[in-house]
Amino acid sequence: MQTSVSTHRAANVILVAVTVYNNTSVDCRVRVQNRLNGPVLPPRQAGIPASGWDAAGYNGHVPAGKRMTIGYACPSDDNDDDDTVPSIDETVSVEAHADSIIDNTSINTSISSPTDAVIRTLGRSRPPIDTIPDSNPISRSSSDSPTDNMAETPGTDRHITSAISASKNKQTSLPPCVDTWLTTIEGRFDQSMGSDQSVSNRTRQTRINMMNTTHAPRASSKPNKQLTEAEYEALEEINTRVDHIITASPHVADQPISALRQIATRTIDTSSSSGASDMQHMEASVADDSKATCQSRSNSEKHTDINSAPDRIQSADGSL
Amino acid sequence: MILAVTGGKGGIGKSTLAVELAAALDAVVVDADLGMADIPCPDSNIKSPNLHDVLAGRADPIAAVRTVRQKQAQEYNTHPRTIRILPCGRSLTGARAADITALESVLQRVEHAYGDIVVDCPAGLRADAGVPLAVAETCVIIASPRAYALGDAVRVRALAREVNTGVISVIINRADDSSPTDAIAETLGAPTVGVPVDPRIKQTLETLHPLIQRVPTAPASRAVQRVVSKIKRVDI
Repeated sequence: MQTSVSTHRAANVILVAVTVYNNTSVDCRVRVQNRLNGPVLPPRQAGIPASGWDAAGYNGHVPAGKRMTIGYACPSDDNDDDDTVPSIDETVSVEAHADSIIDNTSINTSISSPTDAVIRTLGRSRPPIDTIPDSNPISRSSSDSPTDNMAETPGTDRHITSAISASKNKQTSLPPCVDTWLTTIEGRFDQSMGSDQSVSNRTRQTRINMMNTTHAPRASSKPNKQLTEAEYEALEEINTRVDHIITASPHVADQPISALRQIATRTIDTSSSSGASDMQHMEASVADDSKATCQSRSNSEKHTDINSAPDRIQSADGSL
Repeated sequence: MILAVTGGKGGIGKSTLAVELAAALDAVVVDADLGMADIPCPDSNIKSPNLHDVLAGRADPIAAVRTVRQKQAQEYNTHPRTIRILPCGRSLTGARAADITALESVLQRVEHAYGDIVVDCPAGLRADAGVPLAVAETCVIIASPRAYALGDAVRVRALAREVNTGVISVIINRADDSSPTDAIAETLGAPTVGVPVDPRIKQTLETLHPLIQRVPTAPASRAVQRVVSKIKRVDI
């Protein structure tokens, strides 16, 4: 029986590779025992240690004249920066016995449970993480009672709310932090309107007209007393910068343009403080948006090459 | 005894017949369909622990077993009886959190506390279907007389053989005179019993009042009893 061992240190983990060559004329069972100061991290299949591995090493079978190669990792507590690795004798011990004299007791310790064998063979079956509405690991880790789990049962209010929220977030192309911030401000603005009908249910044009007739000029324009001075200035700053970016970037694809235009539109919607000229710009922007959508869809149906993008952008915004 | 009721294909009556068999054996029925549970549990509420919670280590398996008292006993002129269920949750979160490797110890604890167990296995051939089958001592394969469904029964038979679980009987659900009972028995290598169509058996899952208790003389009930007699001859 010939044995070769190689070790390699990577960070604080020692990678061990053991090759056993059975040069005898009989099949042998081999026990590879870890001698390093640390647990054995064996290769895994579907999250289950591969067949033959246990907490201290590996039990395998090497036919006569054949070779067996295994490998495992072992965390090392040594904080040495050099690449020193333990010697072979310090790494593993290899015992081999002919099949006929093998101790049955030692064999049985390496046989994994039927459950492990099934999982290795068939693979785990779990819903993908994306199908779970609230996949925030922090919130999920905090739910340690059965009732928390049950609260997300499909059909419950929380489930439906989460699903709607997820769907809404998928539809928008805004970055999440921007969308959250604008939604928060919009929510307060909508609440201050005191309408018996949700503003979000109106058409955009209706909303524009309503704001146009409801709000005073800029000087007294803080239409919403709940809109702070800092928020108002931030919204105006965003509006200016978005316009600048759109004007200065004629060669980007229409998707970012759409996102930026959405930010600009929502900014103006929310602040409602830009006066008649801004309102006209917004109306034009809305019209351009719909035009851009139609044009973009038409172009994508006819051409798939990127060369058509500038045409779409140009036609998407007549002011550019 | 841990008896697995499996079938490979979905919608062929595994859960219904698992409840029927559990009632006939006075056993606990465990809904092990972690992804798409079928067996309701009307006596429990949404806060009751279920198999998801048990497999996630958040609940004790003994505490998760529910005893459902049948409420329609008078209607069928039968004595009020109960059926014990370990229900499964229906949330994707729970299905993802459930650790299938814990199923063996969970079933062993329930068996130790309550006696015999009938495990309703999920459809498919992944680990969630294979582990209950591997843990069980024996299994009953539910097959459909439809030609396109027989392949699934053959595949589950092969899986049972792979995990060293014997097939004690094959049930051909919704069988009629034209069902190829003998051919299925020969193919699957196990005694085959046909359960004839009976519209009343649909209420088994809805009310958790098995047909074998409501109408013991119904042909479908007698067929289930024949399977139970085979099981009892082998074990229990």
